[in-house]
Amino acid sequence: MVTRSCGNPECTFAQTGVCVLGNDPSACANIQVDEDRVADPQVAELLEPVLGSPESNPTFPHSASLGLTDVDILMARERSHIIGILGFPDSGKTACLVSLYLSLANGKLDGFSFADSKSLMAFDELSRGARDWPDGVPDQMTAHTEVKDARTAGFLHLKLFREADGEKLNIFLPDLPGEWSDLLIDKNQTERLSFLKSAAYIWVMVDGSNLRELISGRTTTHRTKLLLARLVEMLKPHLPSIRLVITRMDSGPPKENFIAEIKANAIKLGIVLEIDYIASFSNNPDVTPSSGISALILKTLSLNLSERIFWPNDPSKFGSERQMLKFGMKGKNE
Amino acid sequence: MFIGGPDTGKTNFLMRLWLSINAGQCIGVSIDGLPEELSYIESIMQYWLSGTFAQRTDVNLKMDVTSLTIPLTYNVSDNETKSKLFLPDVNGELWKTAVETNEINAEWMSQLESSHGVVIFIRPSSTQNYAPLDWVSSGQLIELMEDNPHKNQIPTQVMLCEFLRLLEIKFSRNLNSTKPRISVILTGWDVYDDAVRNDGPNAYIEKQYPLFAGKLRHLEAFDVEVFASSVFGGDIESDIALRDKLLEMGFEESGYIVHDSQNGLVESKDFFQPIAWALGLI
Repeated sequence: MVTRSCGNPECTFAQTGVCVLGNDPSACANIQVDEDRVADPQVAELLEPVLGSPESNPTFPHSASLGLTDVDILMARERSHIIGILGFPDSGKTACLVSLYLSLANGKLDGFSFADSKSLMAFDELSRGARDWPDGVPDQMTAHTEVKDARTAGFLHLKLFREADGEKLNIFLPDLPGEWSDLLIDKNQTERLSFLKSAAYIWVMVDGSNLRELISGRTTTHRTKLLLARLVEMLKPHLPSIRLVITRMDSGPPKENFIAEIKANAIKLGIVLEIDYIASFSNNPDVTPSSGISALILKTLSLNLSERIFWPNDPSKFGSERQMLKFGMKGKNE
Repeated sequence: MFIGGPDTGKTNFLMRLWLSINAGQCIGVSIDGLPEELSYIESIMQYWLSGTFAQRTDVNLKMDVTSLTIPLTYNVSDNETKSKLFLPDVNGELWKTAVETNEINAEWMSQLESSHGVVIFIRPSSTQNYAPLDWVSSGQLIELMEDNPHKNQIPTQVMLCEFLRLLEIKFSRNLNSTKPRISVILTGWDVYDDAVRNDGPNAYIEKQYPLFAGKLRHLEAFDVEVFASSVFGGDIESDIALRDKLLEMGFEESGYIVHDSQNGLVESKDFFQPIAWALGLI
């Protein structure tokens, strides 16, 4: 094989194939012709690969947690709902997801049964405590989540069969780092939470054991009110239904004044805040593990949800419903 | 194609299936001469003749070695068709690895894609089975966030769901070009008492494997039928009287297969039923 280049440093022939002097490349005096070194048999031998390429087995798609693009595609195929899950670190978000999974795996989620999951292995790994944070909090949710040792935020998928009416409901639940809720409050970092604009419901998880003491209770109440305010700023005018989920109920009843204060503040923000109480696990013999999980899902995925118009006529509403696809496209173009 | 994790009874079922076909016990199909290659089947028979179940298939053996090709005449709708039934006996570790790594040997992937029927094997009494963690141990693991010995063990029902997911991606046809079919067989059915066996294998799956039962119930890509089987009708390794009886009479009448059909539980010696159904012949 022969390569041609130009001795004129001003010429871009090597890149464009066009002579800057307007000469015919075959006749230009500046053209240099180099025989490809590979044509030299001795060199060719030395350049032969030492090792053959390793044979790779065919693969099929994983069922780890899903990236935004995966969710985008699946939502376009089938009617689906996102349940946004926010909460400070150690508020019990992951425990709730694990408890939901174990309820289904043991056939104990009242009113619902398992129909499918595109992220079943991700659920199972969560339940085995297999996910950890060796490199610290990730900077952003990745568009395509690979199965790795490092924990990366992603979406979990469930298709649930609702026994009341035989409806099958596709839900996507993000497994978000608690630090993102802190950053939403402290720095108003909303970019990676934009998918919440497409969420049908949002669960704000609050550690109920913190609400039993004055200092931790006041701190949690203060931060939760700020979190709700940031959510309203981000999502208005189309607020989804927001539920305050009080976790760790096995530690005992929280001080109700804190909850009442959060709820009253929510009303001022324009939120009708529903309250749920759960114990994903339990160190209390009087409280069953997964208490409240079935009720949380039942109320969240109530019959009213399936009556929502998927493609509403209101153009402003249409814009927010399609926000998920816009976000996915934006992610691809960045 | 036989799919199932390690120790799910695929090899022993293959042996009993062969005996059933060879003895003319199967409706709608008859053998059309002996297979060219019988060495693998005969190696399994050696275990039976010494009063034990066949041991695990060697993972290093190639597909053409651990398989059985039976020349058959199918009698379907008064039409006779001659064909060869190719039954590869895949080591269960291969399927387990496929779920763990999302990779599969190219030869087996190709075989799966060109299969006309699939049978999934589950042996509920196997010690290889693993149930999901309960709330107590799972909660402790999450709180401690330490390495745990169960980190890489996938529960049996999760593995079964992942087999179905793999089939949704890779398996797409049967002989009649109708919706592809999967037979599910619970092997070692003799281990259970009358109460469990009277409820049938479908009820067992619903109770013990809710995730798998849910996915099966709502599968849109396939039609599924559920069976239960016992190749000897008992454990010949511990039941010496049964072992001696079978050695004296031969294995052609041993065991049974149960079809959990719409008409209830139907028991027979026709071990070809799950394959006939999966192929679309019945």
